Amino acid sequence: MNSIVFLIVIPLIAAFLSLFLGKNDKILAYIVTLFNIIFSILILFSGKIPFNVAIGGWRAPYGINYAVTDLTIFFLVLVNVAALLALTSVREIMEYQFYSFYFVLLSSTNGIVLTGDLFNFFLFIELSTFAVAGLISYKRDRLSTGAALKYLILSSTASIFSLAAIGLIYKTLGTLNFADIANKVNNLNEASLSLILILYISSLLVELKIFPFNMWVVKAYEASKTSVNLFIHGMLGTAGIYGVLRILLMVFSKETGKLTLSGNLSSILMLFAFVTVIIGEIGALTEKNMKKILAFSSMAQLGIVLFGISLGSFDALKGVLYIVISNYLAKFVMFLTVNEFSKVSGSTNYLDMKGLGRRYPVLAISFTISALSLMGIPFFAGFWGKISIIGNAVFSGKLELIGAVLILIASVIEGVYYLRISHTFFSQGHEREGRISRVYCLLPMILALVILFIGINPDSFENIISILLDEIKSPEKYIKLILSLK
Amino acid sequence: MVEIFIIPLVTAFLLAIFIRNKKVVWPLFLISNLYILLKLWTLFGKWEIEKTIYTNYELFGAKLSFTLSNNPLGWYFAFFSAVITLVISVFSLGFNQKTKENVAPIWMLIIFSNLGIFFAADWITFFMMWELMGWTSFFAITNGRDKALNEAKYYLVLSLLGASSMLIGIILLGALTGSFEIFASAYGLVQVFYSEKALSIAAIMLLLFAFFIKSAIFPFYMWPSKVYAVGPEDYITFMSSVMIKYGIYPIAMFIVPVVGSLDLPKILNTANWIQYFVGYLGAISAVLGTILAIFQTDMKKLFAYSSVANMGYILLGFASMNIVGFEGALFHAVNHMVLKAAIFLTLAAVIFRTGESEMHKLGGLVYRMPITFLTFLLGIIAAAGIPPLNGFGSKWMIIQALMSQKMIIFAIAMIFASTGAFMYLFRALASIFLGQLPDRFKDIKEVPLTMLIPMIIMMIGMLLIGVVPGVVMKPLTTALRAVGYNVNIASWTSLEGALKNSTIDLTLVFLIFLGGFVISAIMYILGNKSETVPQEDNYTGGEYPEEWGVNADRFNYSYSFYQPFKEMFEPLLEKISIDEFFASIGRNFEYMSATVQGLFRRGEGAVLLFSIGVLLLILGGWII
Repeated sequence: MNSIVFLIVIPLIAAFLSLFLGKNDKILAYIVTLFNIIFSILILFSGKIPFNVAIGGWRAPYGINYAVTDLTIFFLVLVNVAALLALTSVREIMEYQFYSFYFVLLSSTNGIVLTGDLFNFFLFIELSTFAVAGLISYKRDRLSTGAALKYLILSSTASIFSLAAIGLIYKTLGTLNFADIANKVNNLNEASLSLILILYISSLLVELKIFPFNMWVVKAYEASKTSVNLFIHGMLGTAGIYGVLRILLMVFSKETGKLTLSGNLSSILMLFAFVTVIIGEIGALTEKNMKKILAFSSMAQLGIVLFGISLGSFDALKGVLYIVISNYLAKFVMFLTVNEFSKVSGSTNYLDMKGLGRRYPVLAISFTISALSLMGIPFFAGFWGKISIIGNAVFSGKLELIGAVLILIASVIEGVYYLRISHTFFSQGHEREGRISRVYCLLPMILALVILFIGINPDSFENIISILLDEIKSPEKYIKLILSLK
Repeated sequence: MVEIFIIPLVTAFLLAIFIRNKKVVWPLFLISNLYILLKLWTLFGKWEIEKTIYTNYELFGAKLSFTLSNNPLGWYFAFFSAVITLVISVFSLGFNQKTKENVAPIWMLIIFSNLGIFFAADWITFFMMWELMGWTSFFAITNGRDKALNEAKYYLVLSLLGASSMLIGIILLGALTGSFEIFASAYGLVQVFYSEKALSIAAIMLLLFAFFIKSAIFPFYMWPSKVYAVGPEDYITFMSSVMIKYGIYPIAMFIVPVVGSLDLPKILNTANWIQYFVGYLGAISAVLGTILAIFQTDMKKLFAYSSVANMGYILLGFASMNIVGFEGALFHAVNHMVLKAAIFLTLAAVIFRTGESEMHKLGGLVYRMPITFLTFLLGIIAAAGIPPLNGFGSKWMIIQALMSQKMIIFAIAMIFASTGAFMYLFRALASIFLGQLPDRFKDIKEVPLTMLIPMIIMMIGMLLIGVVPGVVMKPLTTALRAVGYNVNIASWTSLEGALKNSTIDLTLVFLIFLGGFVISAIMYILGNKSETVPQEDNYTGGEYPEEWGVNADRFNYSYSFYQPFKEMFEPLLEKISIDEFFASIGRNFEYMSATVQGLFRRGEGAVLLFSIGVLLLILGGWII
């Protein structure tokens, strides 16, 4: 399966081509994205998973390798589907910069998920940073330029840290291959591992939108177009979660598949996590701008994800995967809804969207379903995540218990602002000029139905999750896959 | 069994599709409710019916399953709430001709969760239904109107907080007893209580917290007055009669059996501390609800506080831990359902015709809406607990149980509250229906037939339960027997008491009252002929109203009706302002929100914060 490289190379070629195609860029974008989706789905059903591809024929510890396992393919499909869904929200004609950066982002997020090498991982993260910064500043006004700069500054700080960590790893272990590091990580002494982890985690947390590292989030969401929001949320965010799962749980873990951070690192992470949740929800409480609300809310959701990961139990990890999928779907529905509604109402302030839910009930109901799922209300996908994470947190210790209580309180706040918005949609409003095509209501509806379906019938998703958990539980299989002699 | 869950869901979907067509929506709503009631009727006695859905979802190493079972106590609540719902849905047919918004689909979802709560056999199902009820009632209260938003938000916050606390409680319970089934966990909790005392008590308290919120028990007594004042009237009738019982049912189902089976040390040889805890909260709710009801000027708020007081009575019945008190509490739950539905239907009728819910702006409606008046009269007689109507029997049982358990303070609180009830009930009657009819209401008519029939049904219901309490007591005692309580099946007309020789025959009581009525009727007929005078005459005491500069409209002095009484209680009420406390929490969150937004708006010091984060990671060992 050497052709796996196409997932990364073809978007890169397209990025180059898009400079010359002008108005045909949009078609190219759809073709390339569809290719990526179809290709990854073909891999999913090829029956060859897991497999490992050594680039240039150099075997694993020496060369760069791309490994495709269950976890990889899951996130690969998520990233590519996100790309397609986000593309559907591009309505106006964009210039070549937009598409060019989009292709680079597509290529780099695919790379983040596929790669089996720490330095390669770093390169793709850098590439995605530069693409995202370009996309944010695409609007070319004061706000978006500032937001892009902010993001660029923060992520380059982060990249310095991760580069230092990579250097340290190479110095101490003599390798940068994921599997090889995982194999040798037990040889590291406590102090070096802590230092490496501190440096590396602090760079990862920037992408993960965790509190002291996330000053770019709200501005970047506010300043950019909806499609770019969706790129950040669906592609970069999802790839970032994959990175955390892979690196923290499978590469730098001394025990099999558990987050066994040395010292009190995991409790600090937990602290960050629930502070992020609280700050995110509180920030959104009185906000009027829908994009900012959604930005705050995705911070909070990722806080819950990190909280679940740092609990260090597989049950909680299962909850995390539910939260990931619920957030992934829900935010798409919400951004698409906001996109449509803001076009009709002419602003992103939710108070201006009054009464739109009566004219377009499908969109408003989909929005409500997603909101309820994010709140962790039963019959929606998020509930299965919430109950699992809370249930495991209650018995893990004092800090965990506090975190669980804070997350529950945060979900109450979330309920207040989201349902207030839903109410505004359904309340009596005045007549408006613009119209929303019924076709654009279809996609949010389908995604909301998926949320509902997972919520009512968790079996449908439980089987996928148990496969993913099996992989996380036994990193030695991953090591064996990559390092075994052929 | 499964049909009664599928039908509401399908109906809710259909209602949502036809939402703009009122001619379809409300009849469909009615038919669906009728079907549910008939189906519930056939379910009586078939306690073994059960439906389990298995999933692969694992929690704590065990696969979750959802079970719905026809448990007797749940059936008792579900059946009577279905009766009330049916009556209200007949009322809604007429009531909603004028309204712009349409609450029917959401309401149907609530009815679904209503049945789910009463038939859930395990805590997870119970919790799912409970949460469903929470957010759907938010939408039902606002019903697309902005003026209701703040109140609905208050309700939503309390509801979500309660659900969160319940979630932790359930998880604790599941971990302690190894089972999410309600009966099994009750049994298990009694077993492990002595070895895991702190955790068990924590679980009980967390669950109680959620139930108290939903039933508006003392620290959370504010929401009914806020919500009922703004919600759509027909839905509010459902809420005040049926939904407020959601907290009562699980207490009866789980807390009472568990606490009753525990052998806790008794205080003063009467009762253990959990009983006292529950009892005091009940007593405070009863007294405070009554006092606050006396001061209201909005009639819906008045009866909201009256509901709080009634929930207090029910809680007192549970606190007695006496079988008569328990029966009395459950009996009162149904009595309150019936009489509160009757009263709120009349209020809805008054608002339907006048558009006014402030009592001092009304008056004299007895001339224009006689049937509504009669329903209201019977309703308040029932609410005051005067014998020939329902409401008497259950209060009688609860007070007896309290006396026999030597809980004198609670009995005093209850008697105080019942007496105080006369004050606000009479005031409502006087302000709304008696006195002078303001000129602007001269032309109003009695409500249409679809709204009259439910009121007449409620009148008959109140009288029937009052005279033949066996209508409710027989199913209740049968249900309790089926659950495993050692009770005798009640007879049709008599009520057993907890004290010696306290069995009373309510039909006899009714006949005595009827005799009194006949005698006074004879005296009325034989007495002097009544004289009709102009309305201005009866209040003025010889003065000429024109000289005071008032007209007939302004004669109806029911504003600040109990001013001296209010001055008496003012200092007490100023000190306990739970509402202000909650509001200040909300405000603080909003201030914090502005701060956080400011932090992210400017986004300055991003790198500084990044460094702080890294430092925290490094220094973490010393901090935690």
